[in-house]
Amino acid sequence: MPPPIDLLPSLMDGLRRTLVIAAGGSVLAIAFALLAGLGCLSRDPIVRTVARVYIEVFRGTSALVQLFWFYFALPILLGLRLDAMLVGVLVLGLNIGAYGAEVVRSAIESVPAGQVQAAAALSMNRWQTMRYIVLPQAILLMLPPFGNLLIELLKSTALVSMITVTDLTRAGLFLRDDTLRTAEVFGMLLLIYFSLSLMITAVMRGLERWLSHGQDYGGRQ
Amino acid sequence: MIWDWEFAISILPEILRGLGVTLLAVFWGMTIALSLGLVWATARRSTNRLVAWPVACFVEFVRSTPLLVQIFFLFYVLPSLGLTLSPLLAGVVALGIHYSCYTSEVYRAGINAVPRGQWEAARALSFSRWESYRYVILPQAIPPIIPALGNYVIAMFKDAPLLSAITVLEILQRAKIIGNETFRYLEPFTVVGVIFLILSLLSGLLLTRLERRLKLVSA
Amino acid sequence: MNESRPPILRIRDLHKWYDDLHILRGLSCDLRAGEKVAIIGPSGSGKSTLLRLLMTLESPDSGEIEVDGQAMWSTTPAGRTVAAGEDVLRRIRAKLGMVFQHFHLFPHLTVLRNITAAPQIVKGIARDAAERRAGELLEMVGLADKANAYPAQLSGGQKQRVAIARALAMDPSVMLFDEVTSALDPELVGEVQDVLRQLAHQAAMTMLIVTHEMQFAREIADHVMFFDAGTIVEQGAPEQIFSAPKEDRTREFLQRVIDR
Ligand SMILES: Nc1ncnc2c1ncn2[C@@H]1O[C@H](COP(=O)(O)OP(=O)(O)O)[C@@H](O)[C@H]1O
Ligand SMILES: [Mg+2]
Repeated sequence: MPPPIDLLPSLMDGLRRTLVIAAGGSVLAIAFALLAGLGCLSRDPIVRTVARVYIEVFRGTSALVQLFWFYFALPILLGLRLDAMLVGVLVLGLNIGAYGAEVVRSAIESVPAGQVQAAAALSMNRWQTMRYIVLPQAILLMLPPFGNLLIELLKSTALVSMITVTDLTRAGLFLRDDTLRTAEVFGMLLLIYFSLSLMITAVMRGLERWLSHGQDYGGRQ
Repeated sequence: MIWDWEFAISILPEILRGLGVTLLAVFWGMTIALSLGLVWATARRSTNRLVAWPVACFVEFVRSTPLLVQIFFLFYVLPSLGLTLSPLLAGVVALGIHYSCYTSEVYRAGINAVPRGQWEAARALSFSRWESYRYVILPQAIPPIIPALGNYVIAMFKDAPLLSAITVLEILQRAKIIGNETFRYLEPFTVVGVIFLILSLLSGLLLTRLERRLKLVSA
Repeated sequence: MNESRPPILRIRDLHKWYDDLHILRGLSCDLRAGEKVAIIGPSGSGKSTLLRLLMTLESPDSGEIEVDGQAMWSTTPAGRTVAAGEDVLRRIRAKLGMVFQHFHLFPHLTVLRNITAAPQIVKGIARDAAERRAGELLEMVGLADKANAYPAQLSGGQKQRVAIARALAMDPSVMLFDEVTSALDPELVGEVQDVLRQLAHQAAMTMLIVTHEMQFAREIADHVMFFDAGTIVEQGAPEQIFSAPKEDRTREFLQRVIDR
């Protein structure tokens, strides 16, 4: 294979791990975002507080610090060693989920009040209104910012290389040590991450188009 | 007790020294980000496609790839081009360039929000393009985006620990060294986390205040 | 003859404040089943607020509301105003339907699903039964061909007719209309008024219609209430209110809207 393509096979294992972490992290992030975003709007003050604290803590501390804390400090508290991959998925999910929660909350709040009133006038209860009227409309508003967050998550997966996971980035560092082709290796890493980001963007665009047919956002008031 | 207060307090000075380095990196990183971002933003609005297009691609590329890999790239690749930077300097430049691609989007939004009529009025007074930016457009575009730019200061602060990957003795790196030397990880990393939390919350509060002030002024 | 039966709607000494704004100031009235009542009055006089209280979109600060003999808000012996339990409220609310000035159709659902959503979700009616009923209602409002359109593809008049069908699908016995033609272009007002006229022919349907169209109020209502500053200043038969108002404020108001 011509250089720099010949570097690719040695990066494949790392790429696979990066993809696993990104996928697992995304699923967790979306789940946490929905839970905490809805939690912020709960009528129960305890639920609201828990959601708020989670969001502030994970948005307020650095993702890398969180990784270190979960990987090095938490095992001391728990008395057991945690798998580095698992910590990566969990921390990235929690971190991006906290940002996603704000997206969920503000999307729900920006569904016009008239929609909730109309649902109430049709005797729907809070849960039915949320499930059938508010969420389907809010999800459309969430998609673009969520797309950005998933790209942030993909980029953050590189951080797991610092807690011993041989992801794409760490595989690149090893490969550089082996080959000393520094510019090529790091250039290749950047290109791979860039392509993955483009893929996320494309998928989100498609999803948006698929979900948005026939909608108008123009609900007055 | 697993948690040792005495130990936690004893490592505080060392960690605060690291915080100083972190804040220094953020200060210079943000200086670069704010200036370069403005350059990208105006370049992307240029009528010359040969300027606008490459800049747009560069900005997209940098925004879509990990800061950590960019840091490695700058730190390890530049020496082979005959340019050797200290770890701190390489890190600051990486932070600055990375965030300039975010601030450029903020500038663009601010500039786009200035009504067309302002450009036309400036043109009618025979201002050059540069003079229009300098005296008419930017003075209106920038105040409303200050809170958004402020958010990127906080974001950069939270990304600064990545510089530990190239051995910069910033806050997280010092915590790690303490951990490696004492085999106690709980206190150093918790202290660092708490410091981040306090500073982010405080600066967040400050920003909301600032935002409200700016709204009052513009109202 | 109807006096022996309880009124379908009984309101006593209703007060509502927004902060330090006293919006409803001791409002009382009765509606008999099947009555068509028009509410007129200057904007800001509390007409929408009354409808929103009936629909439990808001809570009163004091007063009593009964629907079909069931208390929705009542006064305890100690003088406190309390709501009925959530169950009772839900049962009462199901007897009321409301149509809004700005339609509030669900933009993510087709016309058909807008109409079938609540019957299926709230009442648990089977899908094909709900759709059959929706078909009849769309026929009635003249939009049978729009079943699969989305709200964004409809004109204002069509949206409002769908909104009426949507409310009717829950089989309410009282329908509340809050300035349902005010947001429409003038040439679309007629088609919505036609639907209201048609509804008014149903003897059992109680209608409470807030409107600024005096001609229409006079034609459709068998009772007119004039609101001002949170109270009913004057009420009576349309002929009397429009031709021989007793109160100065009524006369002034009518003068103003007819001059316009
Ligand atoms: N949610 C609210 N908060 C504060 N004031 C309100 C609110 N809703 C209505 N109002 C005020 O109450 C008054 C009566 O409103 P409304 O019942 O809508 O009047 P109408 O429908 O007769 O025009 C108005 O002055 C309005 O500004
Ligand atoms: Mg009104």
